[in-house]
Amino acid sequence: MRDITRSFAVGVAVLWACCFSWGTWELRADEPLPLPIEFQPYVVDFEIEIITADADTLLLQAELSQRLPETIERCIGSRWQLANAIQPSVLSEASVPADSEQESAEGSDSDVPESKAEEPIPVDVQYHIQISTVPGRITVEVSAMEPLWERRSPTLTIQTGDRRELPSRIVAAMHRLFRPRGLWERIDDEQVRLRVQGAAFATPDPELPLLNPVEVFTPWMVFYTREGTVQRLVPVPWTLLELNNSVEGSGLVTVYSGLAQPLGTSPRGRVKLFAVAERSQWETSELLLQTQSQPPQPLVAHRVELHREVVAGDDEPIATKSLITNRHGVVPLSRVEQQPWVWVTVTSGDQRLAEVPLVPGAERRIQLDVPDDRLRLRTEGELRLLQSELVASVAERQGLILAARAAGKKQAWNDVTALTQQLQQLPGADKFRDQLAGIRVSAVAQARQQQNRLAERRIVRMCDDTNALITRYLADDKVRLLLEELDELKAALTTDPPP
Amino acid sequence: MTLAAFRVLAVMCLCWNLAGMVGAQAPATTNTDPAPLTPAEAEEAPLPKLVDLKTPNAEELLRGKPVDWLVLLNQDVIFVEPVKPRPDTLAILKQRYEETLKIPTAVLPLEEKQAKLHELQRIAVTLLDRSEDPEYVIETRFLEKIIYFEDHILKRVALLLDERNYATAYELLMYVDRRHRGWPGFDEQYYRFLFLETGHWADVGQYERAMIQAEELFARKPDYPELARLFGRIIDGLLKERLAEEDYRAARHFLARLKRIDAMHPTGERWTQLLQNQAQELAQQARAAQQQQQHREASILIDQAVRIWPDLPELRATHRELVDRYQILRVGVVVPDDSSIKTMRAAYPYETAADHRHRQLCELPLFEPERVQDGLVQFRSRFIESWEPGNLGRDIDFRLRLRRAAWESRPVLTSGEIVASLANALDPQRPEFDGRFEHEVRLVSATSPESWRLQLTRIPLRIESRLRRDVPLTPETLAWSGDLNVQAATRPHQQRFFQAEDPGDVQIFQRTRLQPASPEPWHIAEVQEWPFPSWELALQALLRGEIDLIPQIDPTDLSALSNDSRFFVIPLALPQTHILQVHTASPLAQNASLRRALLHALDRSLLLKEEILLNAAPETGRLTTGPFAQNLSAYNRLLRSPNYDPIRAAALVATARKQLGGELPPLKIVLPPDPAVLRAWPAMQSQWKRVGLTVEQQIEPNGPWDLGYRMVQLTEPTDDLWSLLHPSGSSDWADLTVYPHWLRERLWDLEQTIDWTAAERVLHQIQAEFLVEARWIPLWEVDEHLIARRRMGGLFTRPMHPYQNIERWTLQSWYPTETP
Repeated sequence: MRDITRSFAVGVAVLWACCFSWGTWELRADEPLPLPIEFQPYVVDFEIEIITADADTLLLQAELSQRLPETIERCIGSRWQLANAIQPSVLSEASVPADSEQESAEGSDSDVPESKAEEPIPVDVQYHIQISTVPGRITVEVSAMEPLWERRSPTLTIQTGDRRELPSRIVAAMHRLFRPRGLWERIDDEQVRLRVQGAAFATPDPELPLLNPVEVFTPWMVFYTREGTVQRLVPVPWTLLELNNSVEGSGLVTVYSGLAQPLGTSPRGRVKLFAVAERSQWETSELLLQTQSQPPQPLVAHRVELHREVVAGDDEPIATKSLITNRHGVVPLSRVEQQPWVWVTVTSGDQRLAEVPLVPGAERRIQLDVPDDRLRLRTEGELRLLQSELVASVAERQGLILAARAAGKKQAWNDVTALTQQLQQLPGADKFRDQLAGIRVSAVAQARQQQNRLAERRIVRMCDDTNALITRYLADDKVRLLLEELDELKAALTTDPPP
Repeated sequence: MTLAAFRVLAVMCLCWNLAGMVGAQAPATTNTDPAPLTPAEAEEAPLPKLVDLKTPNAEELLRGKPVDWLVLLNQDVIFVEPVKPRPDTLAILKQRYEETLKIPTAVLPLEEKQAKLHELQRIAVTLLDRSEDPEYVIETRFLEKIIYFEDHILKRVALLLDERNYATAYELLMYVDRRHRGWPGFDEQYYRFLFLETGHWADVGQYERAMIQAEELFARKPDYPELARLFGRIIDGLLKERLAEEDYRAARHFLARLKRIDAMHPTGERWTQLLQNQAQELAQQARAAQQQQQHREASILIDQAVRIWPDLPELRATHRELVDRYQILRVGVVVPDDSSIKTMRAAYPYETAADHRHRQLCELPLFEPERVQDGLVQFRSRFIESWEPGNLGRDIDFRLRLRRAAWESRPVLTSGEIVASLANALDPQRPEFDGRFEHEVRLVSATSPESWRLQLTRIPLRIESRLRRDVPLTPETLAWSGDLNVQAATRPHQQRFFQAEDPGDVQIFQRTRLQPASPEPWHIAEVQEWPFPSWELALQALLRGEIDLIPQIDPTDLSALSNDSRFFVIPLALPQTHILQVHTASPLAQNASLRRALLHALDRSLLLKEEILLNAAPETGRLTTGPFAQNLSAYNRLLRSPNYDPIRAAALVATARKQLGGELPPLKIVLPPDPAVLRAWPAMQSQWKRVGLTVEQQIEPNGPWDLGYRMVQLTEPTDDLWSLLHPSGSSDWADLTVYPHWLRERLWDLEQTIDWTAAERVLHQIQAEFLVEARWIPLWEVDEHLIARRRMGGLFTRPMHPYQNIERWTLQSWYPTETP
């Protein structure tokens, strides 16, 4: 009886699964495939706001409303599609979450659920253009908002007296504030395949290409809800993807990261792997360094070094720019035209705290949290002082040895006695080791109290190194050998009979 | 017969012949021919005649052998060595002869008497140019006279004086005086010499020398003819010179000297009257100026009047009145005019002692140091009446004091001006930008015209020290205050006293705010700094009453002046610390061995004792281990002073040489224009040289340097420490990269502390770390003292600087009346 029931349940389940799959397959067979991302244009919108509501400005606004789309079409081409020119049914791979119901690009409205037809078109970039005029001069401020990333760009200001050149200049500014994006796929820890949205479209104006010769992207993971809304956006921290060879916007990118395994394994679930271009849109980025402790403390007076990536076969010396954080823990990173990104190394004394790739100017403010190294740094300072005293003591010892030897050769035995007494009164290795022990015990105890095992390990290593220096330079052999040598010399000179 | 007796006989025969011609006026051609000479005598040359001989010249007299001339009855002259007794040899012999004659036989036996009488009729001589037996005896009856050597000299002196050859004449006179004091005729010639030479000095304009000589002549012979007239001529010349230099004190001095000689001398009386008239005239001008409200001119004029002739009784009251109304403080400062000092001043990139002193006098910050108490400097404010912390001390509400006391010399500041000034310190684009202040301040705002709020990012350690900033004068400030001197507008950072334009050497500072006209105690209105090329001259001026204050006493005279009841000797609250600062861009900043070598190579004890303190007042100086004053709690007393160890220094030099690739670069040092430093510098250089370090003085303005000799008084160590970390005093971390990170972290800890105990601990650690690494080279600290005449009132007992509280100082009317 039990076997029959079990068999019956299994059969029902199999039948149900088959029906379901048949249904979904039939449904999918009727739906068109989404466009590859390379063929998907960016949905761009702009609004023009006027400050001074005089007739001339109103006229200019109307004029731009008409001419801008034309200029965009002429300069950017199909790569951008203006939001007001797009039917609500047109959706792109970039804007539709995976594994969700898809809508036909040419489907009739009847095929589209009413709720979807009323949904606003997701815009990739929203431009805000603000115009103000004074006699003889027109000032236009252009800024961009990317709704998905909730990111606002800096504002570019155009001033001109010639309204005819305004559309092209505005479009150039819009292009400058534009950040291409794409989808990435992990190959291994160092390589990723990237497909850039809109890359398949031709570039009407070569002055306004989609991609720079070397383009740097930040990888993101965008998680969606079951309903298809964005649940959360998670950037892969301190990681850059450098694209310098692409074919129609697709290519392998090199991964540069401050993390050991930045990309990890492929995430599961409703997630899309986006990559957004990082461009130096600000003149300077403020890099804020603070500790990971709670509350976070700014890292003041820390050295920050900037250098470019070492390329194999590159014989050019690597120029390192060295900066110091100010009293707010901030150091300004100025953008460099020929170098889109740099390695930023944060040090604490002799210890490197972090090394991350950054694009100066990509963001107004960048925050980098690093481990709290103050205890180790303080210990390093104490050890440095101890080493300074060690150097002085060694130098003095050496001087006394030489002087004693010279006095011995001259048979100035009183001087020899005085010098050797001074020599023996100098602090020896034991005294230094006692001081070292005091430093080590106190620092290690503090590290344990803070449960900072990393600091503890480093402190112990530094103390061991210092101990090695003491052993090496303050060996008692030299003094003992000198005393023996002088005794022998004295004996030889006093027992030799006169000729 | 012995040969000698034969010679005596021969001379006697000769004299006998000559005696036959006694009374004859004619020369040798007389009727009584001398007896024929003996064959021996025939071989000798004839004796010269007196008339043929000339007085020896000075060269002969001074260089040659002394010679007396024996003039025989026939006027022949025999040259002999000086005879005895002298002078009046013949007279003395004759007197003795007569006295001997009178001696009874009972006393002197006859034979002896005869022998003695025989002897007394002769004179023993030593002939010149005789190598054999030059001794002779001549009977005195054959001698007419003896012309002594001294007489020759005096005769020559007379001739020289006629020729106005004073130097040689004086030499001859002294020769005579040395040979035989009181020689007859000496005094006469000497007086003549004095008189003539005095006239000569007067003729060539050396009146002071003439005066000395004339006084000497007067002391010896008051009734010397024409001496009074000569005095008149000298005094005329002296006083004309002195009055041309406006040195009335000297003029009165010489008049006093004349009066001691002749109280009624017409020249003296004439000049006395002239000076008195001049003083009275100036007094009248002063009175006139006062009536026209020109109080400064009145004060200056009346002071000039009393210095011309202080004894006029009517001047005293006038002086008191006018000087009290506009009080001028005369300060003496030592400004050596040595060319090396001028070079040092041009090349020194830091504030000199004079600059520091002027800044303390002129600037009026919001908070200024007032006194040292319990190891801490306490501050006070002229502008801020009260302040109230809120938000656990992060917000501070300040209330301004808009009313000013009559004695105060300051502008009236509103909160708007203060806020605007502080905002400039927070603006990175402004030259006044202060990064540390900017980090501490969240917001500064004016809440009303007389109150403002400071919002901070954290609790301050001492807000007073952070507000040691002055608020520059603006046209608005001048207008709002209403009673500021318009000239002060040209010097916006001089709010208390401002430097008036004066092309001379004297630097003049006047109150920014004129004192109100209401009758109440007046205070110092003006400070004049008079330069003197040396301490000795400055002290002389103080003792003479020309100045009233010297801001820094030389240690050699400290003890003596401390016991002088005429003056206050006041120690300053903080000593001055001498320290060598290392330039952050120098290779020295990167090499600890080299720095330590510099430290240990100097025998600081010896330098301090011998060069700085000049072996005087040892209690006023001591070695130090850091830049903080030792009477402040910030000073780490547990640190052992680095010892003088040339062996260690030499070893460190060898180590540094190896580290730097085998060669040590010569180092450059900038030195302040200070006489004590100038004295110590050669010894320091030599001690460094001994261990192999070459350190040269940088004399080029804006030239590169490795070491800077600083003389500092850090009133607030937590803030003032930054001035020693970088040559420009910058507190920007980007400028301090030369320091290792752990040291920067220590400095950051200091900046973050909010309680004084923790701050002290960190300061002690920093001092220790800097000493071990020799990041600066501490030398010594020296106590400073100022000296002021007791006519001054309102002085602090232990001021922070020489001009502390000067707005309340008063000067009583006083001028020197003693005869100089």
